[in-house]
Amino acid sequence: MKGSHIGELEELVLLMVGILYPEAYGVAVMDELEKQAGRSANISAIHAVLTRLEEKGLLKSKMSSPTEERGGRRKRIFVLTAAGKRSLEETNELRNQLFNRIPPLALQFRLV
Amino acid sequence: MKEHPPKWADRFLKWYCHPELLEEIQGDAYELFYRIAKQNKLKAKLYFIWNVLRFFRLKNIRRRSKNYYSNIITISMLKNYFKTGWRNLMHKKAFSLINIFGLAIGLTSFLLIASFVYDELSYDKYAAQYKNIYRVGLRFQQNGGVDDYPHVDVAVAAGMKSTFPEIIESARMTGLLTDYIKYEGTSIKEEALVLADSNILKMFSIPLLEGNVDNALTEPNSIVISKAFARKYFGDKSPMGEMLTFNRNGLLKVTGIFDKIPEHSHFHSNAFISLTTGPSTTRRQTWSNVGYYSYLLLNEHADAARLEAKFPSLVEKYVVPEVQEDMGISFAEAQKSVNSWKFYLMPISQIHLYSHTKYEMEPNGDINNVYIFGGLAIFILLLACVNFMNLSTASSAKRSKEIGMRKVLGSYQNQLVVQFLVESMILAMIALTFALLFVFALLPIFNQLTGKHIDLTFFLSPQIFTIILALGVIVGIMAGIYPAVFLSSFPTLRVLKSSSTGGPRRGGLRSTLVVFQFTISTALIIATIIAYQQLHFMQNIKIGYDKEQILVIENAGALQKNQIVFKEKLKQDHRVVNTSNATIPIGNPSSFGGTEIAAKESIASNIHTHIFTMDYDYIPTLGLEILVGRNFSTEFPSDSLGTNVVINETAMRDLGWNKDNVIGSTIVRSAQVQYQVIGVVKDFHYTSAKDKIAPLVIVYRGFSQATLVKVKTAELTSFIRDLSQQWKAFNVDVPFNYYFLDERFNSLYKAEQTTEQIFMVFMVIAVLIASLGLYGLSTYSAEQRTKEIGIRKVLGSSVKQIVFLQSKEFLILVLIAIVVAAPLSWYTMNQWLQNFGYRIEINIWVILLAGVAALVIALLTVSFQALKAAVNNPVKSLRGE
Repeated sequence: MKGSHIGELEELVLLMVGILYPEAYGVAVMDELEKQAGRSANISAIHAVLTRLEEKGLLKSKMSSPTEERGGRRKRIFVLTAAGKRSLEETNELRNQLFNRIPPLALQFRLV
Repeated sequence: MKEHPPKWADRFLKWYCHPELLEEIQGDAYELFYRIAKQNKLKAKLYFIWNVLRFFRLKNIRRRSKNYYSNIITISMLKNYFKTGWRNLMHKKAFSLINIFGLAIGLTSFLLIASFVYDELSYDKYAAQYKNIYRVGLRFQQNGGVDDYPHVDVAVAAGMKSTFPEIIESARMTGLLTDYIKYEGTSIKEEALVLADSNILKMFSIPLLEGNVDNALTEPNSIVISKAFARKYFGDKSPMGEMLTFNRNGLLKVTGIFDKIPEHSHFHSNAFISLTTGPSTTRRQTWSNVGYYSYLLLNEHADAARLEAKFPSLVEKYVVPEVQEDMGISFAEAQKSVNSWKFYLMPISQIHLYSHTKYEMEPNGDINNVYIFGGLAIFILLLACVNFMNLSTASSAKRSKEIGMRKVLGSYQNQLVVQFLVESMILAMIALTFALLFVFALLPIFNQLTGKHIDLTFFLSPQIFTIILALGVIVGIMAGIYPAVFLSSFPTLRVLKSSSTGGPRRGGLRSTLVVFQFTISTALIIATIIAYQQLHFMQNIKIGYDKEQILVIENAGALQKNQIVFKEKLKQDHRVVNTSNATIPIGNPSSFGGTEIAAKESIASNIHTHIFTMDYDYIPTLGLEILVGRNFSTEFPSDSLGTNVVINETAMRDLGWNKDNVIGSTIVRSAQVQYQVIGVVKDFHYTSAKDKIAPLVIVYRGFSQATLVKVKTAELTSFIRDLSQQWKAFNVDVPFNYYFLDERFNSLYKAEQTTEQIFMVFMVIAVLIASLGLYGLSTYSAEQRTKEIGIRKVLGSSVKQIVFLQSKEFLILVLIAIVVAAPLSWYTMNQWLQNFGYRIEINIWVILLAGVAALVIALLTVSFQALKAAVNNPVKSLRGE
């Protein structure tokens, strides 16, 4: 079902929105993604992900006041919703849990 | 100076992007652009374009999803449109009237012409197998031209059938004969008799009401008659088995009755007589002559073109030996003389529109007329639509407030478009109603003009009526779409703010439309004048003989030998100047007998001539001029033997002779028949001037087709009464029929008269519509400039100056139209004139005259409004401020 699972890029974008609070909008998210995760994505792709996340109810948005650098246009500012926060927590938890269950032996690398 | 992203890309983004998403998307794209532009402008631009393209995805594209545009056209909204539309109509009644009237005229002519075209296209489709029925024709080169016959010799049809298995059936029919049929004392002249093979009825799917289709025409002396024909002779009594007396072949037994030949047929005979009644079976079965309309029924899979390609073998096999024998020439010579012979097939459904030989059974239509009329109909409808567009856009000023208001209150542009379309649809439907009324009123005149029998019920049949309704809708959309889009595109703020006209001025299109209208009008004026001139020219061409005061007793031939006595008696009458038994010198090329002849010196190059018969008095009676030689005369007894002939100038030329060597030369008709030329008459027109004068050979005969009487008397009625008394004294079955030569002469030009009238009607309509449009436009222009004119007057302009000022722009448009129309119509009419053997040259003054006429019409239309505006008291027009 929609909303029950998020993809990798979606997860990253969700994290970026959290990091950038309260100034998360298209271009900023794109820049942050490149800076933090080394992932370059086209702005249109970022938009697509943001809208998808909003549809899933993980983000909400409102328009900011106009800024000069955009030719007087407003930005759409995204913030995490409660569901978004939970989703991040869940994935985070799941990862940690799963990571912890890896037998230590499997993580020991020795020179043979 | 700040850098800007490429405009087109930005515009493209705006165009496709969903309005809700536009701001953020555009904002991000701009932000990125400005950022990169600080380092590299080109890269920034390219990146911007790239982004715009990348944003072009389904999610971002503008669409009419339910959320935004639900309920745009609800019933209550439509109601509102009707209401405002109606109020608008009523508000400017004169204007609406011009609009509706113009559109109604356009629709009326379109409907009438469309019915004509439909009618023309539906010929010869009544036979069940019409798609597989072909008529055999014959073409060959002669006298530098191509002779085309729609009929072939007696043996051709059967010969083809027995040679080619793909031919299932063949049937022959003679041309329409005119003769007297008698029953119990009533003798009636019948003009549409044919002799036909027994299977003709089945081939054309003509059902019999009584009698057996299979064998009704098998026996000699059988006749199958139409219902109307039967009623004439037998009244209500059953005609089956009755005997009719046929002038040439004795008694005929009625063996069948059919209802009638369908209207849309290339022949309309009232009676079929079995072909075995005539000489067709007893005579020699030849291939090299013509005279029998022959029809072939091919099987489903046969290919007519492939069959046609096999016909030359038949020419080789049958025609060549025959020609060799008949003309007494060598095989090689015979082969050469027929090497251009070509039998061809014509699908019967094409005969009416595509067959234009001189020898059709009935005058056919012409596919070119269908195209011309169809084109004109569409043009006129376009003109009317153009008017509508022009007037609506011109009147937009008045609507701009309403449009602004609607937009402020939340109308989308599409809603406004729908609104205006609804309005134009209302107008179109009202116009259509009027048009139908006009059609009903005009249909009798139209039928008379075109010679059609189109019924009111044709327009009211469900199919056609649906099409007509659809036409109304289409016209409504066509006429309304431009004004609708134009009006609804006004920027909201501007129309509400500015006090006078709203919206962008788009005079360009309006001007183009005026030019278009006047181009067509002027072209039609030119066409009408030229058609009139040509008609006038033909009617007044020097025909080469005196046609006045000549009475033609058209069936005097029925007196047979007594015709000579009749004529001699007439000659004694003091009221008669001269009289002659001869061929009537007027008619269609096909109505005269013809034959192939050649000069004795060059026997292989034969020509086709008409043959006339005459007695000694023909030349003086008609006042023909003798070029060289002499007339037939009683002083030369050998003249009456029929071996001497008089020919016309054209025949002399075509046979390769001249004035000096023609007398005494020999003409060969066939091995058995030869003529000595004793005289040459100057060419005279015995057909309409549409046809070139053909070669003519005149043979001597004491009694002929008709008796011509040249009269000089003031009391024609008593003279004719006396004539008819004398006629009765001979006790013939045939009634006394006569006409005057000059009256019949004028009827030769009926077709051209019709063409001229049609041009005239179209011209009047086109001019009327164009003037209506111009009138409406000038009204608006005057209205919009009321203030300007007032100020001008206050500052000292004269009325003359103001009228000129207003008329100028329209007159320039009309001038452009004239310049466009002149070469166009000159070319077209020149093509039309090529149809005529004798024709006028197009004079430059015709074009000038038409141009002046168009200008005057335009000037009158425009100046009326201009003058009204100009004489207005400026106090009134300026007070309003």
